[in-house]
Amino acid sequence: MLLKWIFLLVALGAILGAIGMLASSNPVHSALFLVWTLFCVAAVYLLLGAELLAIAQIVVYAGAIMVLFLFIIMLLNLRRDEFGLDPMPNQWTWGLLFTALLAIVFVSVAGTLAALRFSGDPLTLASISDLARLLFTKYLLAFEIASLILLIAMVGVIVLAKRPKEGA
Amino acid sequence: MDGGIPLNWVLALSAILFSLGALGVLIKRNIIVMFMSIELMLNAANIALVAFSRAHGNLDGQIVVFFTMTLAAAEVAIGLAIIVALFRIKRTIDVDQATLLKW
Repeated sequence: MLLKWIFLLVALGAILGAIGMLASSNPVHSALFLVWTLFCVAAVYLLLGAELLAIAQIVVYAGAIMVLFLFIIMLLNLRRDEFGLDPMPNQWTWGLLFTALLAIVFVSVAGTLAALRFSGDPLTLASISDLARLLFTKYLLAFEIASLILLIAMVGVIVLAKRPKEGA
Repeated sequence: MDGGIPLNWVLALSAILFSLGALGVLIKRNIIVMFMSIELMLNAANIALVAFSRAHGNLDGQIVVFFTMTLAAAEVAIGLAIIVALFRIKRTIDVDQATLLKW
């Protein structure tokens, strides 16, 4: 019962953080709100018994990725008029309408799924070594490909962000 | 779910966060905030994966989330490099100004 209340609190925090991200006009504030939401998502992972993912979420998402975002925002050092113009006419109306439809569909699907009974026992405590065993046996090829993708991304970023040579 | 948190609550949270991310992509014109909204949608999908992984008693869902995080890191690095390159050319991060391929 206590777990349910903690989950509701964390979920509320995540949703408020997401709304704050959309409501603030300053990108730095948006990024900080998103960091808060990502921390709340890490707490949800903890409540669902995925400790390793919770730690990876904080280190990779709230740490590395959001620092990259803040770094770029500050590197570009945008003036007020470079943030873009006001939204196009009806952009808010159609955006809200579409999102409301999407939310209705998703939430109704989530409601129906509660009636389903899943096969197998629910995970109580998945140890990190179980996860690692799966990662290095069944998903070994995917693991290696992921490391290759990171290497390609690293090289690609350097090529993209490098200043073009003079006269080239 | 074993007397703990009901599965549909977690899925509802995932659905709401995904919808908010979609809303951000639709109503914002600042490309950096749009990119953050995409990250929010990825996280919403990850929550659903972890919830189903727990409900099925199967760790494969958590592995997928692990790979999603890896790819998100690569994706963010590339995306932000593209934004920097775009800013060099156009001096703006308004997506409507990114019309270099339009003629």
